[in-house]
Amino acid sequence: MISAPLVWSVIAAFAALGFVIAWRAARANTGTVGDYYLGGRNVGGMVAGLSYAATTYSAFMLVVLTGLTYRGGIGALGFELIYFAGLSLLVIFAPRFWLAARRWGFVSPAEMIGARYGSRAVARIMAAISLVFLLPYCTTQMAGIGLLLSGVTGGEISLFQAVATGAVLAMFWALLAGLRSVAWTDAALSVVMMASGILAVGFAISALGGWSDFVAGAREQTPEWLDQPGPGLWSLPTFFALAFPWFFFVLSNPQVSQRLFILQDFRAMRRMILWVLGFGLAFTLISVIWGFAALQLAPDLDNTSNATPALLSSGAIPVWVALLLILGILSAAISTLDSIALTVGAMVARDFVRRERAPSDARQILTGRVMMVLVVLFASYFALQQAAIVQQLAALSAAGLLVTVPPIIGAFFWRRGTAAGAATGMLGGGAVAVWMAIVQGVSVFDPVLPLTVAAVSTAAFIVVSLLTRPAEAALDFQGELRADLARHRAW
Amino acid sequence: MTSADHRPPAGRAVWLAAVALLVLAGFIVPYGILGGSGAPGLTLALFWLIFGLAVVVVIALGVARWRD
Repeated sequence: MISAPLVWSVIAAFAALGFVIAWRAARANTGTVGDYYLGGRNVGGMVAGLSYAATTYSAFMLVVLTGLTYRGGIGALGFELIYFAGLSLLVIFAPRFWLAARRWGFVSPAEMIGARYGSRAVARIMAAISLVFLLPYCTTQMAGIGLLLSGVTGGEISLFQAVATGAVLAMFWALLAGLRSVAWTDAALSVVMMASGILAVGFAISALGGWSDFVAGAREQTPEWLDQPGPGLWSLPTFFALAFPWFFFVLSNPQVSQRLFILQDFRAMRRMILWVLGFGLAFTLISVIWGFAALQLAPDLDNTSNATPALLSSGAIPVWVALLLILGILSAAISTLDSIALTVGAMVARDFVRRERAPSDARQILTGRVMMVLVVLFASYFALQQAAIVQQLAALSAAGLLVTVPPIIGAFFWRRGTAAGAATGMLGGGAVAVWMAIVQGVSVFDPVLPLTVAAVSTAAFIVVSLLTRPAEAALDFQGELRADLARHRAW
Repeated sequence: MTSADHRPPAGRAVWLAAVALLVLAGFIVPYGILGGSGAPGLTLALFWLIFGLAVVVVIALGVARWRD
């Protein structure tokens, strides 16, 4: 176990550093909506890339993915790399998102899709779907912070104290200067995540006698874990059920797709993508190797999601490295949490509240700030309550958010797509997802769930679109962006 | 600009096919070719490492032609 005062002292130092970064970011803000939610659309490639990576790679990696590796072996690496391959969607969609946001001044992805179909209702439905599935996902980040801090201190730090710490940090960094403080702190946090992960894995392998002994140990002690399906978890249906919805993460999750609006130019966009690729591949390998190391250093755990706390308190990792990794995981959770809070705030301010009620930039920023506080409080409350319905919705988030993918693809590649089709597809698909998972009890490990959700939302979008007419106010992204795409030599 | 200038640069179909093949390989190779032996050694780990690097290369090729 690690003593609570020691953990508190490093968290205090970490918080102080974050506050300084956020404070400096706040001084650069000009008070406009575009500045608050999108950093003035002038963020460079490296900061955007590290922020994107820190937002995408949450506490999931060193808690859940490590646990999945511990439980099922190398299939966990494959699952995460199929998600990683989904980043290829950025090659096609990042230029379109960026150009559309520039031309029409969109702040949230839901606002963009609503305008494309000429319907505020479509924007609201997309924002509502995101809220329903992202808020529980925030709760899991909070719960991850709680489990980690109470786990490594043997309960000395209570769940409430851990969650309250995460809430204060996430709230402050998001509220202070919006995207700019989130992006800057994200970039710093990503460095902590990567450095702590490399060090922790290095010490774990060293404790096992070096790389050769680590590999030999894996081959001799847990040979099945190097196979697929392996010891049981990664059957082909399960692998497909988890990987399929995650492949579309870059489109379906607004907290990452909104990052495409913040870039200053195409060069920054390319650099952002390259940074995400480098960070993502390295961090994925670290998380999976960490899981394999836990198998040897902390074997026979009943609850595999405790693999990381068990390894950290096993004595194999020096305390200072363990403390650094705790900060790394805390960073991963908070960077995801504050990004989701910021995006949800933007969606509520832009898509839900009538423009007449919040006509000024100041009112829209205030609305977003109130929403951010509510998001973090929601996540904190339900992390403490451990409500079953919230946990079910969190597990369902990847499959549930799939329903937004058909109207997003249609927005750029299918002129016949209509507002009625987009609304029906999202509502129908969302209802089917909730009905199957919550009412019928279909597991997220069952491929029938994501396949049915995808089929229903796609079919409803296409059929209803063909039966209805595009709204007169609908925008023609294909036609309007064609020349710009060609000029930038983007596909 | 004429409408001919508005055409997307060549190679999109080939690139999309490469991505599709890569993703397909992520399912077929571990389950149909390399996996299921019970103790494959490091073969699958090596495959996934190459897969990850191939993803990086394919995406880097996709963004390499972009111009400001």
